[in-house]
Amino acid sequence: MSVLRLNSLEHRLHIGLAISLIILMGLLWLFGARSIEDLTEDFIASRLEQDGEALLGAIVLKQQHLKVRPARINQIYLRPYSGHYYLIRQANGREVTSRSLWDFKLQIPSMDAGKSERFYLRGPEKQQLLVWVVGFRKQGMDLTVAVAEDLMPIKKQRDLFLRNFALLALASLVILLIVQGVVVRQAFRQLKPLREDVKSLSSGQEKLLREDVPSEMTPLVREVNHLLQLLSKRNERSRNALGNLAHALKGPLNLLTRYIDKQLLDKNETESRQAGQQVERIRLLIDRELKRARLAGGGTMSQRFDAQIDLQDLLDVLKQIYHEKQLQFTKHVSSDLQPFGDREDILELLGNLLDNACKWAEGRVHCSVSGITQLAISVEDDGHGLEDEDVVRLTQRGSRLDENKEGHGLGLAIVYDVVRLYNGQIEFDRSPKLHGLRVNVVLNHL
Amino acid sequence: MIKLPALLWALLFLMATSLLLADEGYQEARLLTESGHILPLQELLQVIQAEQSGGVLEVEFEHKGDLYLYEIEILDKQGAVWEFKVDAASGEILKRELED
Repeated sequence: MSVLRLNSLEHRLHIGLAISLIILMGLLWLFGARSIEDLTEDFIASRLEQDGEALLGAIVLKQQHLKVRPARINQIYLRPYSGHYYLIRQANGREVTSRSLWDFKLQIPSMDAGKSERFYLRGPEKQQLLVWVVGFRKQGMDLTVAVAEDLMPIKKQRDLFLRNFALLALASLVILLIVQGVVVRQAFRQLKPLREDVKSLSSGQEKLLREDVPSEMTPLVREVNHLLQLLSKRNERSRNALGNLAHALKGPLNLLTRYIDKQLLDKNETESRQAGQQVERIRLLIDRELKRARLAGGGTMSQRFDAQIDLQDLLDVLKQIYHEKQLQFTKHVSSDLQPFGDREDILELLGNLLDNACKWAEGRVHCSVSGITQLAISVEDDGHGLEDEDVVRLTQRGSRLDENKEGHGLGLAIVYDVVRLYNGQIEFDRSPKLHGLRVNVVLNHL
Repeated sequence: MIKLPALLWALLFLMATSLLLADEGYQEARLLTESGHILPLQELLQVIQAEQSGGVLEVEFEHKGDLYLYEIEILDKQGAVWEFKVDAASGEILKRELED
C-alpha cells in the first residue's frame, strides 16, 4: 500500500486531511504559544509593578542616605539568587540592591521620573529575567527602581505544555486519519452490491441496476439505467422494423410465387421456372438475413441459455408438434452446467437440430447437453441417417447439403451461423445407440 | 505592659543586631567582589555544585581575621540540606556536611 497511489480516493483524502490538519494544528500551536507567552509575561509584569510600588513605599531617606525597611518587603527578596530581585539607584549613582542579588551586577539604565520600561536580562545561574524599570521622585530625589523576576520556572511549564500540545495534535492527526480510512472503506463497501448488479446485468439476470446506492453514485447509476433502457428500446425497434419488413415482403412474394406457379402450369417455360427459382431464393435469403440480424442484435441484453429449464420447454413444444409420430424423447443434462451464451442463439441451434431429428426419427430422439467451459450438445435419432459420403461431405467442407431442399432448408444454415458465432465445431456421424444420425456440436464462450 | 528583665532586653537586642549583621553581609561581599578581593558567588557556586548538585538555599558571609568565609546551604533533589564552608578568596571548600 503505497502513499503515492494518487489514483486511490482514500489516499487523496488522507493527503488532503493530513495537510489541512497539519496547517491547522501548526497555526493553533503558534497562536497558543504566542498567547501563553504574552499572558504570562503580562501577568509577571503586573506583579513586578506592584512589587516596585511596594518597594517605593519601603524606601527610607535620611540625609541623602537610602535604606529599605526589610519588614515591608517580601522575604523572597532576601534569599540569595531566589529569582526575585530589585535595584534602586539614586541620581548620584549610589545603588541599593536586594540581598537576593548578592554580588551580581544588573545593568539597568537610569529612568526619568514617570517613565518606565520593560526588557529581558540574563540573571545569575542562567536565569532569564523580566525586568521592569521605572523612574520615581521621592522627597525631592530622583530614583530609578528596577524589579526583576526569573522567567525560567514559568518558561519550563510553558514548554512542557507546548510539547504536550504538539504530541496531542500528532496523536489526533493519526487517529483522524485512521477514522477517515475506516469511513472511506465503509463507504466503498456500499458499492459492492452495485458491482454485483453490474455482473448480473452482463449475465442477463437483471435488466436494470438498483438505485439504492450512496447518493454520490446515484447520478451515475441513473445514467447507466437510462442508457440501458435506451439500448433495449433501440434493439426492440430495429427487431420490430425487421419483423415488419419480413411481414410486408411475405405478401408480395407469395403473390409472385403463385403467379409463377400459374405460369408454369400454363406454359411450362424455362424462363418462368428460372424466375420461380429466383423468387424462392429471395424468400430463403430474407428469412436467413432476418434470423442473422436477430442473432447479431441479441447482444448483452439477452438472457443466458439454461439447459435445466430451456431444454425441457423445447422438448415439450416438439412433442406437441410431432404428437402424431408418438416420439419418445430422452435427455441428459449434466448437473454442473452453467447458464451459457445467448438463450435465443442456443434455442435456435437446438431447435433446428431437434426439429431435424424429429423429422427423420422413427420413434426415439435423444439429446444431451454438458460441459463447463464449453457447451457440448449432442442430438441423436433412430432414423435411417445419412449416407457415409454425405456425412463426410457435411463434416469436411461444411457444405450446405440441404439448403435448397424444401421443408428443412434453413435448419442447417442457422446451425452453421450459430456455430461460427461461438467459434465452435460441428460433426455428423452415426448414433451408436439409436443407429440414426448423430450431430455433435461444441460451442465456446463468446 | 509586662516589664522584662534587663538581661532579656539585652539578649533580644543582640539577636536583632546579629540578624541584621548577617543580612547586611552581602553588601560587604558585593564591595569586596567588585574590588577583586574575593571571587564572585557564582563562581564559588559552580565549584560547589560540581560536588553536590542542588539549588542555593541560603548564603552567609563572614569575616574572620584575614579570612573571608562563605557559608552556603544547598538543597538537593532528595530534600537534604548540605552546608558548605568556602574560602571566598581562593574558592577552596573548607568544610562540607549534611545538616541535621
